[in-house]
Amino acid sequence: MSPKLLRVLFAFLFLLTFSLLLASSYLRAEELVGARVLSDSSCSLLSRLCCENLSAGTPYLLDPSRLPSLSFRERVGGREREFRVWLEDEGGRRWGPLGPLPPGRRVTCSLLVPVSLLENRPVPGRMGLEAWWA
Amino acid sequence: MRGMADLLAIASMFFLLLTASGLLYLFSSLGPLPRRPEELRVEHLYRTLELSEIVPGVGYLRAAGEQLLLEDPTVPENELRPSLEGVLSFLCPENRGVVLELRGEGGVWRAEVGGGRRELARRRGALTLSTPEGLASVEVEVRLLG
Repeated sequence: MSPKLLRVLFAFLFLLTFSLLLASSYLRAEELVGARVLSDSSCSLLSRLCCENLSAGTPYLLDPSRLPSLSFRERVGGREREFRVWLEDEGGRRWGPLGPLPPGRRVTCSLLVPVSLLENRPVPGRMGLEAWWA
Repeated sequence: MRGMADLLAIASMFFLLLTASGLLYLFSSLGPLPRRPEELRVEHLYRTLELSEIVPGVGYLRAAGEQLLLEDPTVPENELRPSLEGVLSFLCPENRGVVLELRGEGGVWRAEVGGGRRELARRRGALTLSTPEGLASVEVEVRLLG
């Protein structure tokens, strides 16, 4: 093999390796940015559920009986988003999870936050949310 | 001329290497993890302790504040502390710790569950209670540790 051909071959391999590395890191970066956008929009969704959709009149005080009235699919910025929700009180009483199951191998965002649940009186509870792009 | 061509080839490869390394660094370092979920958790925790009632009509925060201001609080400390620590353990996310601290004229009242040294998020607030001497204020701080 001539030295000239060897040089060309090395240069080509060099170029190929860096192109592949660059492409894979770009895809990874896109995945990370997508996960961050999903996380941010899930936080906004959770706040809206706690302050409006499930609220028992006071923000952060939730009425579990309003859970079935939720629509578990919505359009955000031109994209469809689906989610499922559950509530649980300290005594182990549980409502849900309600909503569709996430498709297999889809990136989901799960959040678990403290809430106050209106039973006979306001009691401590937890709300779980899992959201994904449909 | 041939030597110059080799030199140019090596220089362009170095240029490519530096550019690619810079771009790789840019793509892989997207800054620190977002703090929003932790801020959301600590806000929810504060509001849950404020709204949830340990006995009808008395929230957990108010019951804790009374320990500092009243000689005869609605919920005695020996009942409040285990109940509050149980609630904090239930509400605290896994692998996290929570510190609840109230400061008033009567000193400091503190409850802590879980572990963790690094502060992830903090929520400060105030509570106003009526005492025999008039209205008194208590500073409340909830810290989420990880």
